[in-house]
Amino acid sequence: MKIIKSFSVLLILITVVISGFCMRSQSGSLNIPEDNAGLTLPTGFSALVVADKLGSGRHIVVNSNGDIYLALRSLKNGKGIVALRDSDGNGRADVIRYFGNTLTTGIDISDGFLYYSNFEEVFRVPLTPDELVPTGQPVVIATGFEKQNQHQDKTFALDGAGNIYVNVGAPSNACQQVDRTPGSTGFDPCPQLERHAGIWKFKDDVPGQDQVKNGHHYASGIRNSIAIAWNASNNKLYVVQHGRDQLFQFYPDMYSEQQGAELPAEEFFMVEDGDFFGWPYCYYDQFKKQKVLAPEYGGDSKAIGRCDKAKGPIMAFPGHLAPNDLLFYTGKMFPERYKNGAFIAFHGSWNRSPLDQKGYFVAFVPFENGLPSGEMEIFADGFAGVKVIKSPNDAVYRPMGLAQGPDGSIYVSDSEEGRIWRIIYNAKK
Amino acid sequence: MKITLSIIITLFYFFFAGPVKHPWNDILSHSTNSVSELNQTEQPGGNQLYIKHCLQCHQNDGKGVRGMFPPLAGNDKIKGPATDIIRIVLFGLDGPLTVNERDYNQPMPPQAYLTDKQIADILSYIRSSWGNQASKVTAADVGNVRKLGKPKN
Repeated sequence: MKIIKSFSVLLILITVVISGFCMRSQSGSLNIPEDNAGLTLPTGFSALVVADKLGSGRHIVVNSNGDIYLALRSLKNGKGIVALRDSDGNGRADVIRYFGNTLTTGIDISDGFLYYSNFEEVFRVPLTPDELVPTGQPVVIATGFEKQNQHQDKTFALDGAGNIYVNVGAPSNACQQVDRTPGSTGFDPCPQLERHAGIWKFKDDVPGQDQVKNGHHYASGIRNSIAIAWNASNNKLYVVQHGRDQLFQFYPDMYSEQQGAELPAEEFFMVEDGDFFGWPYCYYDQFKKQKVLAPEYGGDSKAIGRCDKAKGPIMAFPGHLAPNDLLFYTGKMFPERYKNGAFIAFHGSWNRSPLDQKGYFVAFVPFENGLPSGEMEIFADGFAGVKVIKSPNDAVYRPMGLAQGPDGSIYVSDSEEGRIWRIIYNAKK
Repeated sequence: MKITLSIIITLFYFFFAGPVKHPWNDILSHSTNSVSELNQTEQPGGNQLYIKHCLQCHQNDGKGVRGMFPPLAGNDKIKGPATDIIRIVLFGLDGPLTVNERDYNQPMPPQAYLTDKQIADILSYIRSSWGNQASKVTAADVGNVRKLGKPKN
């Protein structure tokens, strides 16, 4: 009897110790649904939903302690950022707090500060260890940008060496005299290049820097690069550009509907000081594999003209897929081939009609020595929830922002319903 | 021997499983949609004109694109006084707006290059599509608004 009793005690003790170990190994306790929350992923990867219905999700960042910060492009109950914490380690956020008084688009963390931007300014606020919501006063870091009514997101990248690079999108489609109007030729030179369509560099810790007085005009001729990231493996800036619209609508004599839907490429740029990438004079034709002269500047879909002087892409993607975030993977969780490679969130097209809309997935591009070393592949798909997308409204979710967690998981935010997924490798045994 | 075997396997895949395709090919390859069905443009009616001039932004279902282009379906403004929407088509629209509790912020370029008749046909089509039920717009309606010119504010 005594023996049985002590045996049971021993058994209970063993169980407690073992389950204690299981609790500690983070991915062991993650609650991962069988269907990977609707996502299609490569073998060995799985996904779970961190949180739902958060608002109009934009970019996302995960702190070194696992706390998540999601930018909201429309205020929710007057707040523009949502902070989330998974305190019991099951993968699902159980503490959700809204803060910040401005709509937010770009968001990142560097050196203990949360950086975030709206359409006109970049701010930062100190993060207090263990406090989910920042308690300090936000300080404006970059300001003085002109108000604009399209491509207004001031997304940014931090280089970890004291600098911040801010994307200033073009306030038009192709710098026409009358924007987006058939037959209207382009301003030449395009005056919008003075304050827009490029990257401006600032110090990451100096308050109140003005675009013109303090900003360094780092690169130009980029129509809009919502997807912008620093690659720490070679210390260079990379962006993925949203290419121009409406080639067929405005120039049906030069372009077929098919060409209008597929041209121009979304271009992946490696950006160095002083670079010029060609907008609005040029666009990249992924079939001809070269920059060609835009029709607003005398182009006929073939002529190259001045475009031989514009810096080309390191990779070209099909038109209108809307690359909205870029992440260079530095984690230890994923297999070796993902190391330093690029994840790109394609928000999905709205202007490929009458063809089906495309994109709506997260892609991966392997990298070696700072350049793509293989074809791009679809990494995560199924966000839209439907096979055929005629209009963006058909998509239930649209992948928007990307972030890497401290354990090497990848987080993906959604713009439609405000969902966050977490993608994990080798969690299912 | 090995080569023969691999040829047989490849043929098997082609016949029974279809060619092995990289998922990326789908994006680059031509869509199954018929472009030609939208090209019948003799005497274009409101529907055809909508496809040509409006569909890109406001979409085939009239629901627009979240955050960018407001819906025309189920939008009270569309069903309201014709003068208001004729003005938007002729003179464009700028700045943020909210429709059915959602925010939109993309400029609508003026479409004054369209004729009065074309604008009337487009608006009549929009006002009677996707569940909208509002009166027809005539070329004379559009002409009157055009004559008055762009409102000062």
